[in-house]
Amino acid sequence: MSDTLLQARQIYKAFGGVQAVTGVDLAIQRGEIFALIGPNGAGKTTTFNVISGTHALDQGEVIFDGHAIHGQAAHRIAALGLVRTFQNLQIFGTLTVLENVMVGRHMHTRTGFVTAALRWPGVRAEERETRARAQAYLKVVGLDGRADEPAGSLPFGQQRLLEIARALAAEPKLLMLDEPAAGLTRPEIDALNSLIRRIQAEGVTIVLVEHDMNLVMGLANRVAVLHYGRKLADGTPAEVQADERVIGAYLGVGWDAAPAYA
Amino acid sequence: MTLLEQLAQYIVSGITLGSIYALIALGFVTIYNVTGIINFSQGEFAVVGAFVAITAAQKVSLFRGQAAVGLEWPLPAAILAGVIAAVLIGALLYRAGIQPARNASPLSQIVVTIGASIALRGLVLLAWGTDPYRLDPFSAGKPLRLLGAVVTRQSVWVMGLTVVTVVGLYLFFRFTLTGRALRASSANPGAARLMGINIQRMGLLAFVLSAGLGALGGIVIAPITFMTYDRGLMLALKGFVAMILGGLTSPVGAVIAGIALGVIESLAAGLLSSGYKDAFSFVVLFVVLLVRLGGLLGARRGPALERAGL
Amino acid sequence: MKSPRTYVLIGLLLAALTVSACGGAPSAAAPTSAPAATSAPATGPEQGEPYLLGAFFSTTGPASSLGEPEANTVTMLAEQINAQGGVLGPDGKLHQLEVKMYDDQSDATVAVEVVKKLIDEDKVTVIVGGSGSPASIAVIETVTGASVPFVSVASSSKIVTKDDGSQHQWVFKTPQQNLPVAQVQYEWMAAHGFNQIASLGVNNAFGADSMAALKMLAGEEGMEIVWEGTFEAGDTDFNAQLTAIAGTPAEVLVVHATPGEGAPLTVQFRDLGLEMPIIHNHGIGNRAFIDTAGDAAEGVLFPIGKLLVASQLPDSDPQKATLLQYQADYQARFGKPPSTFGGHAWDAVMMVKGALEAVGTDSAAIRGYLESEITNFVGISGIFNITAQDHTGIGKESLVLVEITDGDWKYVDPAQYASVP
Repeated sequence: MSDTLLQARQIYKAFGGVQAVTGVDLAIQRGEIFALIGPNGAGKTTTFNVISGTHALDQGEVIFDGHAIHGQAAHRIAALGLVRTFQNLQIFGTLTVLENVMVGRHMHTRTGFVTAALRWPGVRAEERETRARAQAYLKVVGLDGRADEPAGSLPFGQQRLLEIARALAAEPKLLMLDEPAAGLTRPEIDALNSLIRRIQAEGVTIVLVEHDMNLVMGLANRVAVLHYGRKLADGTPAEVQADERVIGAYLGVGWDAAPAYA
Repeated sequence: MTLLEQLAQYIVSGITLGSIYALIALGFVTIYNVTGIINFSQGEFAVVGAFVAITAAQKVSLFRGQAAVGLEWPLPAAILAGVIAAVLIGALLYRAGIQPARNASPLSQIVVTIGASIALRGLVLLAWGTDPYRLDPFSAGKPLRLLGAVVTRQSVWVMGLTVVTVVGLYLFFRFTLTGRALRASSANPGAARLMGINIQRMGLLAFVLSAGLGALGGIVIAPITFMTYDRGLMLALKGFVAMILGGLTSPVGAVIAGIALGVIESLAAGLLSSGYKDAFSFVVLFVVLLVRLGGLLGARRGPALERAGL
Repeated sequence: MKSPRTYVLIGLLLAALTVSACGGAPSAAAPTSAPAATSAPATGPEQGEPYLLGAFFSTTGPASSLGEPEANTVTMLAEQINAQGGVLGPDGKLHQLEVKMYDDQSDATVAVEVVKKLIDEDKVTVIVGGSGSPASIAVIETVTGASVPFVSVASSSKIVTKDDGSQHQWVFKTPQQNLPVAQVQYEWMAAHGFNQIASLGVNNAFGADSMAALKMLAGEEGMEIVWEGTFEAGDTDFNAQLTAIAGTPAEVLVVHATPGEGAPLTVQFRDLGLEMPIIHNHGIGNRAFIDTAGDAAEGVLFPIGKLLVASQLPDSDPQKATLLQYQADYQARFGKPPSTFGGHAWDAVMMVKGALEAVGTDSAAIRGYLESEITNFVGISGIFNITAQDHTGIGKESLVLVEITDGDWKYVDPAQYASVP
């Protein structure tokens, strides 16, 4: 069994006439935290969207856990164990906090409309179990106290935690986080840092796109740097930071200043 | 009747009629929330449901007397038959008409539903002709009196069934996995897909639910207003007005607006001018559209669908 | 590039349109002709050119419950006439009667189109038809412009009478006027001593004409219309109007409607528990009313031509034999009893047949015959005496009051008015 959980080969993606991703190869190992970085417009969000199946790719292939997932319907990719969050949050605002997480368990529930009608006791039991598990995931992110509030009424930082809790409820093999620290305060980022470590400790592989270099360099086991839609380098944070091409691409500017490109 | 008793009567009659508008509007909202489509064959579900129920319950001759049907099933079985027939048509419409066009614009899909409604109306006309049909009242007996107003037993059935249906739907949406998945799909279809929810299945479910709601409305009102092949259009328009009055996406709003519309119609017809009952609903619609036209157009195509990249 | 899905979509729409077109009505383009008998009698007068009769009825659409028995009656009469060799014309020859018949789809616009087609393409010289009052009124201008006589089978007085009270030169009609209908209604009310009336009618030519007749006679009959209201064709809920009536001192409700609205209206009237009697006009004179209104129809009264209760008429009635013959013929040919509307078509065809026998196919001559020679014509709708001042020619003697009892029509003798319902 391969240690590579997700393999992207020679992926291309253009929007109109603009080539956003050009021939990128990525290999993400089981259990690692993998970060995609690069200046704005480097194609990292597009790469992220293409390998998570959110956008169709023009060329190339994406193999996840032995399945080719490019061109697959989003709900099938999710069912294989690849779940993502969004930089601009995608919670179910009109549902309660708890219900959001319960929906996250959707693919681990088996009741269709017909069984729901025929096996009422089984449905009730499943409903109870789903509720209990969702409560547990809320506890993991520290939102258990706000379970019955409408999700849309939570402050931004907590909505982000809710989205992560909902993703965890899906019991993913690969959790893809799209700029999880964007818009968070310093203390919230610290809490996020430890939350992501705990998730890794549970055996979940994590891919993240992130601007906050302190967060990335502290968390990631491996980093890929994108520039003008091409992969410039990949390796451990230390290797990447020492790479001449990377330093060149960032015009010699120190890592801490990189967000200034935003 | 004194004026006060008359007022009570207008309100009772209005609530009865409005209950049907509410059920139709609920169907509209359900489909709109999940699929972004306004299903103009919603009224036809009521017509088909009622005609199938009438055919199952009573002696009926079809195809201009070419075929005589005398099933005379008990009422609950006939109602079930009507609902099932509409549900199957709803499922067929989704599978054969909407799903294949899922990449087309919502407007194109709406055109499909208009086409389906014309087709269904034609089929009903072929089978049942132009005569009005009546379903026997669900229970016999003297009407009840409420503040001097007459409440027929069938009116009680209409209001009762509407309440039961609305409460049942509420419980379904709130406390079942499937109901929650439907709500999630309407709140944020893109995110729902990423949670492994099959949006197409949810769309199918929305059509099936709406067809059932429409059929139930058509069946329960048939003993009072009878059913003719061309009722669907007017029912759909009234349900559509109620949907818009109720805020387009709100099931609760649709129910309240549907009932309010029935009462407004009844009061206007009774107190102002009896001949232009239908006109009042459309005046109300016109005013509402004028007042919140921008909000209406921008409402739902906006955030949820755009964010999901649809 | 069009995806397969696009084609599915287009196909579905086409299917929808096709089905609706079929369901709505067959195309008006092709007339249905009653076949001329293939073999002429071996003996008797010489065979001449067929005589053409133009006809149009609402065999589909909302007025099809009127149009279908009318079209059937025309078909049946043409068969009967042709089986006897045809129409014996003034030239001494027998002429097969060839009917050019169209469906106006219960649409006044289509009616005008098919009448133009009858005149311009089929070259007919006389026309019968126009199931609905709106369709009949719509074609007045066309037939007048072309100088082709038209015998309408619809009831509105506006079909034959201009606003100044004179008659349209080229138009006749066979159904009774609404005025004598109102006269019978008032006779019945007088027998009960009622004098306060609520009047509720459909907001179209039929209802308006009937309501106007009731109103016109109210003064001279010593009656007062205390409430008057309308509803739209296609309405299904009448509780608002009925509730308003319940708040008036009206002693009786007069309804001007056809079964489509008349039946639910009557059911809702009974459901509301209104205790005043309800009297309709002749618009509800077909089985559909009894079938759909059910128990609520019991005790409903309405004046109408004698056909419905032909067998119950006293033997002294001069129309009785004609009525029973038509009933028997129609029943034998179509397997169901005829309706009053079919009777209107019978009158129209038989008047025209008389004209063809007397004067041949010249339009002006036919018109002259219809206006001056129809005297004591015993028809289905009444005994006709058409004059230049009255292109209908039947009065209240042609009408009887009918009560719906035990799911059937019952003839009410004028002496018994006070005891019904």
